[in-house]
Amino acid sequence: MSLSTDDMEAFIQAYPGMAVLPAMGNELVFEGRFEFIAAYPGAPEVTDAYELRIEVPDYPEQLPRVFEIGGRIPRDIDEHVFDTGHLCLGSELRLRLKIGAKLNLVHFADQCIVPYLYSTSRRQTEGRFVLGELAHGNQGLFDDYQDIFGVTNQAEVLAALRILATKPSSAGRHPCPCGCGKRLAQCQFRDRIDQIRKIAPRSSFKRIDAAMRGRPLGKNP
Amino acid sequence: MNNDKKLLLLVEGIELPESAYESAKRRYEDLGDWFDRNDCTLRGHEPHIFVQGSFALGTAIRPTKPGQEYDLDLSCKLRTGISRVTHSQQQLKEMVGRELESYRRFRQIERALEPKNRCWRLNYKDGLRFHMDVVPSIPVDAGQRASLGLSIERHGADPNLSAQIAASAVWITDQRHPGFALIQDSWLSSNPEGYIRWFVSRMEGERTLLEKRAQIDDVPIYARKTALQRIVQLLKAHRDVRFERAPDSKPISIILTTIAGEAYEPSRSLSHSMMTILRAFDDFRRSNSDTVLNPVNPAENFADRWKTSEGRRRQLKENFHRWIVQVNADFKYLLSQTDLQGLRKRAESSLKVHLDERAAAAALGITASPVVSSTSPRHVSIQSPPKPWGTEH
Repeated sequence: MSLSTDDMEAFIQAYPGMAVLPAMGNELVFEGRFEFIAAYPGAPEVTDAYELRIEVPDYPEQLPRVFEIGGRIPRDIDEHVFDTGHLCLGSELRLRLKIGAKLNLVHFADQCIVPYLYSTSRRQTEGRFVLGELAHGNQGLFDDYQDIFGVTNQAEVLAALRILATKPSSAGRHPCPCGCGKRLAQCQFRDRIDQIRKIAPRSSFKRIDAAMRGRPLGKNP
Repeated sequence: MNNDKKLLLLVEGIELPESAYESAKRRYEDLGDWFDRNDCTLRGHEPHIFVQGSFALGTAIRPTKPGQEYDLDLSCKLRTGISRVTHSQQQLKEMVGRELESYRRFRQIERALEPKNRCWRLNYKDGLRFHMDVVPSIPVDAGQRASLGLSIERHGADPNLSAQIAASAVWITDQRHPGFALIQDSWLSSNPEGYIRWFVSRMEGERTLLEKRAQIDDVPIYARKTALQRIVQLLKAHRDVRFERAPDSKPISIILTTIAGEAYEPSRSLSHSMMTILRAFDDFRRSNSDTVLNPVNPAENFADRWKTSEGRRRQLKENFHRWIVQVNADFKYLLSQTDLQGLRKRAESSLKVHLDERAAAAALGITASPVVSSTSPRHVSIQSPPKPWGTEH
């Protein structure tokens, strides 16, 4: 179990409508009324509440999953809801970057859940995701990963993922994904790679790498 | 807002209706009369029928789901003429069963007498959904009583009380026991009367219903209740709600009652006692302990199921800890809430207690509106938000 009791306590204090429920598997389950007031620079403040269920499995192996259970958000991929019912809060690596090496549920709620719900609330009046959204499918992921890695095209994203899926000890001998023509060990890009390595186990990078090449290993998070 | 009144209002919402107590009392007395009649086959064994469990402790609560049955736990102790060297567990169980069967016919109770592991179940069928679980027992022998008395004393009770508690220890039957059908001496022990005595001793100084309760020959006088009893009721109701979808993982009532009883300091206010008891649960969680000893038999650990493979699969200990975190958060929220709407919402979600707005306002001496919430939702300022994504259509 990746969440400490203190963390659990902090979460139900920060979001007092949420309650920790009994669980049987490895995951912790929270349910209840998720109330927030959110501000975004230069934009209207939103006060709203959603009925949520949050499942917190072992991190970093798996990401928390968030379900809207009050029937307010349709189960439609255009609303960024998977057909299993959990919300697509963002790309896996972006969410992992936000979470960091250790999961803190309050931080996750503030940084990943609230922005999504803020957008959803405003979309209901303004008709679009005002904080932006990714394209569906791999295109959206390529765009986001390009941004995260600081590279310029899909081939470089794939090269970076291949490096991340490789053992750090041998990764340095591979050509650098940034397109500089050097080996990774000789390019400053290796600092970026080292940073990103910290946010997920290598097995996750392997899985993402395979999925982005159209050869999924198991299911998406 | 007066916190004692607030808690009293919540207790009202989970309390058994008076009719349930009355009908329990009628039925238990009726059964007692049956065992007391002249041609009772057990007459020579001086049968004694008494109430045990939450009805006796005054901690029974309304079932969470409408239509759920109440259960009334009774003991049927045969006080003389039966021992582990003269009878098997099975024989004792059948002797009591025969009388219950003739009672069932006499009262024309339709459903068959049902053998459970340690008791017989009589199913009534009328307005109140009710069943009576009758546990057959015999007194333990003198030697056993003496050593039990000593171990209770070592656990911290005073010598007088320890001796009294030990005097009411009994052997009970269990059909899962390998020696159930044999005459042998490894019967399970139990002490429902002793537990009641211990519970009552935790409230000493509060002379309400208690002196009478020690006699145990009556269904509790529910009208006069101590803070301890009310708090146990609230804790049980909260547990039932939070474990509604995982009833097999919930902490058993006797664990809640024991931890609350051990921590209780008599003659303080209801809200003060609540905070003391919540802290005791939290201390228990932090101690990471695997034992909740039976105060009337320190050789017994009420938490012994936690370590079984089933207990681990159901995460009994972990789920107990999660519940402790939640029950602390919920009651602290309820007690700190000064806004009626917030109070009503949380009473509903954490206890399934529906507080009528006007009645609650009147009881708490506040006006129902306008509402100024005492807790504001969390403020978050969004920076570089993740962009939502989706799979292909």
